[in-house]
Amino acid sequence: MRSATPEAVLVGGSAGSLSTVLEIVGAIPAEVPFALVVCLHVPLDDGGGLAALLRDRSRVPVVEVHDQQALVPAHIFVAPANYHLLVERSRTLSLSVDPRVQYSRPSIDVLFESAARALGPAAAAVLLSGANEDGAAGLALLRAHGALTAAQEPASASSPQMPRAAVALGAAQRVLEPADLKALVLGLARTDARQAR
Amino acid sequence: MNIGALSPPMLTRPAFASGMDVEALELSLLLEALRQRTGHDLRGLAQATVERRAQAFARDTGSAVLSSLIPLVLHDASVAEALVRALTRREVEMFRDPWVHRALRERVFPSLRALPHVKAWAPNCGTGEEVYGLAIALAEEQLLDRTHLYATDADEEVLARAREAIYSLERMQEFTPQYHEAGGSLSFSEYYHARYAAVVMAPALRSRVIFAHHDLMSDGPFGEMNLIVCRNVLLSFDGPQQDLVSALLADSLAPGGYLCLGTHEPLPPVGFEVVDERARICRRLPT
Repeated sequence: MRSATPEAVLVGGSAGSLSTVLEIVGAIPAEVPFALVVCLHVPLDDGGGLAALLRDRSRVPVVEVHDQQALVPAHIFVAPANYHLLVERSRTLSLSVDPRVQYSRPSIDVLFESAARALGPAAAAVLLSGANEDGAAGLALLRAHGALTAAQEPASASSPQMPRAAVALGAAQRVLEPADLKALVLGLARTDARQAR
Repeated sequence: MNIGALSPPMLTRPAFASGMDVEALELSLLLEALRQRTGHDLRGLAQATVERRAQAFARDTGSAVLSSLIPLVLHDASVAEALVRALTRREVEMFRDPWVHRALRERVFPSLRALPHVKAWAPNCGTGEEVYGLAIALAEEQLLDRTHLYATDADEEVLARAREAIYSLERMQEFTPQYHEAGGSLSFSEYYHARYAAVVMAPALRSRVIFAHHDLMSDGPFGEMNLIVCRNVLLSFDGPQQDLVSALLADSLAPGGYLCLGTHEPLPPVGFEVVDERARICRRLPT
């Protein structure tokens, strides 16, 4: 059973995903009823650069996650370089310095798997372009826990390996081009607005 | 009564629709089994990471779900001990965020030099890499000889490995550029002896670190420290436990003592002045 609006929409990606992330972030309305959680494979010396880049495009506050931050709507939360980002059942975000997963820290699998367990059907997730398989297993677990899952159409991705792995696992309920992924995320925001009226 | 008509909806009812989070229940029962069987109360750890590690442990032991670890924990002491270790271990690097090590050298060490003796503490030192990195910085700034450098952990086996100070050559090669970024001015290889694919840290460093048992979750404050380097330790705990550990760290500092936390951990709200916000270095105000 899926509630109309998720509590959190998770976006994972790596090589070739930034332009789509910027498109989605730029279209998020100020009163968006969910949190957007972004986990990209950023370089070690990112130093908050990704969050700053998204902040320039966003109508809602963009924060690079600090440990124990509350997962609240109308915010964009960005995984910091060199930490895993996890969602707790208590609706807080936590960080970890556990070993890399799929050569990555932050790892999309770690975020997605924790969100699957913590949020279940109250999560939705999008897996974008990327040059390794991080995120595919996590997306599959999200789907198994009742979350709405989508992957970028591999043919539209400059690095198709990541979404292709998700499709191969049957992890994605929708396989969409970037413009349709953006529409999907915005649609989730609008569902709630209709209900509120 | 037609039982057949009643049972199918019971069996097919999805976990979330029933309002019952079965995985959360399994984790809670497993931690309760560990607590009663081993005395280790791990309920104050950050739960999502604990669950992730427990799931990995379950996979490695061929268990499909967390609750199937419970009989093993109850009846096999070695499994219980291994699980506690897996759930509490801390990953450490010698110079994680090298610029923070540089900030310690530039903004903290000069005022430590004014002290006749320095007491420094690295809680939850794990396998020791980070405390040896601190020892190197103190040595190069001519402070190590008059520093009592304490490194503690709750796990005796991990402490033994930290004392041995044997690391893979591969990891040391990863640390080498970071050593220089951290402000290191010599040749990093002077600090260890390599043999085949492993290295052991130099005796001059090892003899200066005092390893001791201390559990941040159950023991009290630890001395009157001039410097506590406790990076990415707090984030292994949940919110309420973090408050307790933060208070313990504050109580373990001498007035004017420095505390260095992880770059994405919150600074203490009261009783400290900020020395370097980005590097998460603060100083305890005199009371």
